[in-house]
Amino acid sequence: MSNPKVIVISSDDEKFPVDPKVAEKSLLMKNMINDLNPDGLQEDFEIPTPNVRANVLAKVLEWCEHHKNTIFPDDDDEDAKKSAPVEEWDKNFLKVDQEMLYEIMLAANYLNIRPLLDAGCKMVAEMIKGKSPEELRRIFNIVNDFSPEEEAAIRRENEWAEDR
Amino acid sequence: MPVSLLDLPKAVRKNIILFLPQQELINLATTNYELYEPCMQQLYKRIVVQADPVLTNDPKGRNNDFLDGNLTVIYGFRHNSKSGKVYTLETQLKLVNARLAVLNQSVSINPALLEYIQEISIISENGQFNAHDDIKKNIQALANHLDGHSINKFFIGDAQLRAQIDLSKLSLRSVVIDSASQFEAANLHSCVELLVALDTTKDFNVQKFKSLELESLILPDDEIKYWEFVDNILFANDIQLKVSTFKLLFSKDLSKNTKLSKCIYWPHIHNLEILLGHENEDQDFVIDLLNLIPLEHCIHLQKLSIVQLGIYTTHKSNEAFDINVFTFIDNLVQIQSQSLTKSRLNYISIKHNLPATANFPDGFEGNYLRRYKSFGDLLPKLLVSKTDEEQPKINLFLPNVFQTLACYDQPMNTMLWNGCKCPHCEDYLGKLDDFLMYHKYYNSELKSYKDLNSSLIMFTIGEFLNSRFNNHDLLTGLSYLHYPLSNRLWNFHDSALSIPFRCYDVQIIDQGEFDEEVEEEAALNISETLAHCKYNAAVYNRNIPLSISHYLDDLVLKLINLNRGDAEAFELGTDFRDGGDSEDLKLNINKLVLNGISYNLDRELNGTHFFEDVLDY
Repeated sequence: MSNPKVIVISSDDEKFPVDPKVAEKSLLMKNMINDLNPDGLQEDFEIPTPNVRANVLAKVLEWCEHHKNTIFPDDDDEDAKKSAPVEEWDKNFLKVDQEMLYEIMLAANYLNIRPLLDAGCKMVAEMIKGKSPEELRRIFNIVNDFSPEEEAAIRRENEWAEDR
Repeated sequence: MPVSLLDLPKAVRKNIILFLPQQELINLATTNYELYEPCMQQLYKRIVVQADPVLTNDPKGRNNDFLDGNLTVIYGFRHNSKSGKVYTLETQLKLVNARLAVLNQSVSINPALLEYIQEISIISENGQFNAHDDIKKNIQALANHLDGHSINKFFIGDAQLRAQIDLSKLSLRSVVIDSASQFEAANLHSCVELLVALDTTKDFNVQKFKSLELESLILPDDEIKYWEFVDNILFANDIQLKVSTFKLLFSKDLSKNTKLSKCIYWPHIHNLEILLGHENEDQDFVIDLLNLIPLEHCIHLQKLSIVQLGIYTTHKSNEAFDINVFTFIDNLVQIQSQSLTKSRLNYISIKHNLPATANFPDGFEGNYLRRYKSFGDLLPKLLVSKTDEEQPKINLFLPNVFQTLACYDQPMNTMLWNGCKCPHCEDYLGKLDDFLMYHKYYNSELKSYKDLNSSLIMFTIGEFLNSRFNNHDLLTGLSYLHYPLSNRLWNFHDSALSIPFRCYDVQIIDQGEFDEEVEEEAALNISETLAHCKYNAAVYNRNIPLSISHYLDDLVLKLINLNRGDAEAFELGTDFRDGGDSEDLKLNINKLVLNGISYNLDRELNGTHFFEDVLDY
């Protein structure tokens, strides 16, 4: 008999059978597998992900498969996390439109796949770099709810940290 | 479907903001109120104050990290590489002071900002801030604003400045102790890290020390002061250390070292700095010392810094030291790879102690190739587990490796006169060559000036590149990732030796090798010659470091197994696939910082390794 699989089910009922090692990149799924199978996985185990669409889940599981052996820096080691650029493979993998990128990040957040969420966040951070507030509003669909006076006050408040 | 950044959950937005540098935090904060608060939390979280501007990533770089968002830096002006405009220390200090004043004003108008501050570091080189009354007042005002707040750290590196700033009303997790009376009076309820800068342990309150639940204990680099604390406090009171961060300074006395090793509960150690190797110490003794560290118990050791204490006067002993250190690291990596715990070494720093003359008495030559290969060939292989198990990527720091290589005269000549042929290096290595022709160094033994050589000039440049790191002994070589690398300028005349280089109007080749005798005191004054010399900080600014980085690129190429251009020296396709991982060598380095030159490493999609110098471009 082949090894038992984890069947991850998307919100639109598509089923994705994967090796437990792949599913366990998600802390949420890892905990579910361990909590509900205290003696180890004996048979296929279904995990519904009601918040994640099939095309997003496929992408997320592709990432988990690629990184199934990768060891990432500890979550609480902020210095180490920031020292890591977005890997070339991840960069290529996350070359998607903004909406899809957000959806992958939301799925990573929900499934608790911290390194994928970090990679997505770093991609967005890269997009933010070097942009003026006006450009940021346009690119990221942010509505300006500050008056010009408030905006000026924020500038003044943080003038000590402005690049010169 | 999220279409706006504001559609993302707060936690996700906060995670994006975590990776932003200070200017971007300000820009994003002004776009919408929802983003204002998390940006402010990040902007005010960790602040460092220093005169020098920080080095930043190449905006067009493909492999940038996010360390420029690690701390918010209060600095002077950025020097301008293109226009050659650089700022004097006086100007930088004025702006630092102005920035501090604005920060104080902001937190007094909006005290909610104070809640966000977790850490402040004041990094003052050579008493810069101590001599500036207004800066001192502003630092004290900032400390006063934080009265009653619980923050992680208010670190002041300069001991004289520290003595003048009253932090007694702050509840800190990290505390510097300068005297027994200060320790007695200090509020240590929140203290988990003690940085000890005591001159003497007389009247030190041992009971108070024993009552602390320390996670980190950093004792002074000074061997006498270090061991006074160990003898009088730790040994005399049978104190067992259950800390996760420790600085271990080995003495010449093996029995004392053995006793100290037994004081440490090794499974708790996550971060360790080891200082070892006295001047010309027998290398077998170095092995004995390293053997005192019970590697089988170092199951959680993640960060390791090794510092060579004394100067070895021969190339042979220096090379042997490296081999001993590498063997130690190899053993650690292999033992950890068999351990059931998931902790693995992910940070290594190896720092040498070198003669400021860049000259060993056993000659300039040494075995440069062997040394070069030990770093380029041997070290990367050690960082890989020999089992199939994956390992975390390692951040590797060799803070003065260029200075080490500069101690070999012939390769430095080759580099200077027959090195990188790119237009930039043709220009700036040419300038260095010209500089060499018009300057001499002070030989303190002969009390006279002597012809400058390429080793000494490169060593001196290496010294300034090394000072890009925040090298404070209380912060240890374990904190290189935490603080940003600074753009430290060199005026072409300050030397690694204590006496500056002297300028000449006539080429030194047309003069005798030695000048008349000059007393040291007279030699110290170079202001007159500096005023006339065409070489200055503007010429140096990012131009000379870029040329050094081109030289170091070759070492990185070797390290990441990209052997192109040197095909005859290697049997490509047998031992290694050129440029990619082989069965027994998998690229396992994330960041490599060689003497202040910062490289990020990665793989192309096709598996070929590549690297990028992220700060010198």
